[in-house]
Amino acid sequence: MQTVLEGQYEITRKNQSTHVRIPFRVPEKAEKMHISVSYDPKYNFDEEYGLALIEESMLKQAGEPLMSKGEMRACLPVDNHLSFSIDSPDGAVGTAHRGDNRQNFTISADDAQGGFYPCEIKSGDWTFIVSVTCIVTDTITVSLKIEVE
Amino acid sequence: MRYYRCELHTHTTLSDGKMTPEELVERAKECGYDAIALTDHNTTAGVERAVKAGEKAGLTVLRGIEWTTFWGHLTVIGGSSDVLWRDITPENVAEKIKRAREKGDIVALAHPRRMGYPVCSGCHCDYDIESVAGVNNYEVWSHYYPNEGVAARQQREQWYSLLDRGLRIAAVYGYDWHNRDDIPPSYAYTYVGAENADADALMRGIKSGATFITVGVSVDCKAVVGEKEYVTGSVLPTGEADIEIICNPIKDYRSDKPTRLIRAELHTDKGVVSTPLEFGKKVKIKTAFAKYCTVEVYGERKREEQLLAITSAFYTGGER
Ligand SMILES: [Zn+2]
Ligand SMILES: [Zn+2]
Repeated sequence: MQTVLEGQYEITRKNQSTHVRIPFRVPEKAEKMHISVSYDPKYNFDEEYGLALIEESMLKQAGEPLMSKGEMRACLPVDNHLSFSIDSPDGAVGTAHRGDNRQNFTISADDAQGGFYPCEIKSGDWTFIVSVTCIVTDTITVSLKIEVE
Repeated sequence: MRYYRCELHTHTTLSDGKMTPEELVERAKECGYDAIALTDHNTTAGVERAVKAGEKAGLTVLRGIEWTTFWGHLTVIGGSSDVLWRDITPENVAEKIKRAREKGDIVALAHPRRMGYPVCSGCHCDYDIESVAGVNNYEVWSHYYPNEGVAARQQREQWYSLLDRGLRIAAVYGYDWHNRDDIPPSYAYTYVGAENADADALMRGIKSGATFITVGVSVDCKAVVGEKEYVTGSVLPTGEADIEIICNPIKDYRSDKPTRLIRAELHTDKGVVSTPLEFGKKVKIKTAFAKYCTVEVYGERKREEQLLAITSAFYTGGER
């Protein structure tokens, strides 16, 4: 097993609705790729902030109250949501879109999970992409480790 | 032709759903669907598994994906499109929809007026409506309690505003099915008129606009012009037609059942006409429209008057 990428990446509010690209290189003769990704914090537990953000966004989007105060409260705590994609030298290898802030995947020519497609682990330039669907804290720290074997 | 029960918006564990593709197919079969489209968020990784499980179970599975972009969600059904969701921007979304349709896929605007950031970021359609007006379908109803609440009202209004402008967009429901839902909250069905329940026939049916959405009643309706009969989605030679409607309860509908019908309304670009309606009794209404005519069915459900079903439109004249 060889680590090809290990690091922490800071996402800020400026990254809302953008794709943050993290390039890495895969050496020759790899057959499997293990990806371990997590991010923190998941939640913003500040209820006052959450309610104000929901109310302001709701009125901006709908132009009228879509939800009652009780329904807004049921949406607390507001949370960060990131989705993850991978590009191989040949193109897109899929996307993992779910709420969990800790996810692990293994990709090979015959198997993959979580929204990725089975794919040959070719040597060359790859990219891990963090899509910032929702950020409700000032920063999010993404921890990423990619190993090949 | 007959109407088939379809669910065109579903998710599995390959994105944020709670059922595997096999479990979703099994559950859909149990719930009496003839077909589903698997539309996981930004991936088709579960599609072949679902198709295979569908073949075994006798359920048609349409290949699909939900373009889950930062500015809105669109379901794309057919499996032929080569658009990568990450390439979609507010500037090029119209082109991407066109591209997918040219490849033979069906594109629907999903839950356009649902709350977006920070509750369900991306769920609200922030695209300029003009740039997404090239879709085949509009989710007039969505998710739980589909015919109730502000988002449902706004979606219905926005869909009609598109028809008013001469666009031909079919009405669909999106369950946006993520969970097993053993005791389902209020939800709806999309029915698709087709020659049979094969994927190709259903794709043709959806594209032709032979759809209606319902919370528990079947809507058999046709337009009659002279000797000829037309289903919804058809372009009539004239807007002067008789609309024939028969509504019946859907017996295995699992949530609150409508207890009686009240009236049918024809909604056209020239206004609304209404007639009393009862279960199982055929009514005939004269209409005269210049662009479109839909049928809405009202009745009693949950001890109040509710909109129970909406059909896609009959059309006449030139398309915008
Ligand atoms: Zn969606
Ligand atoms: Zn969805």
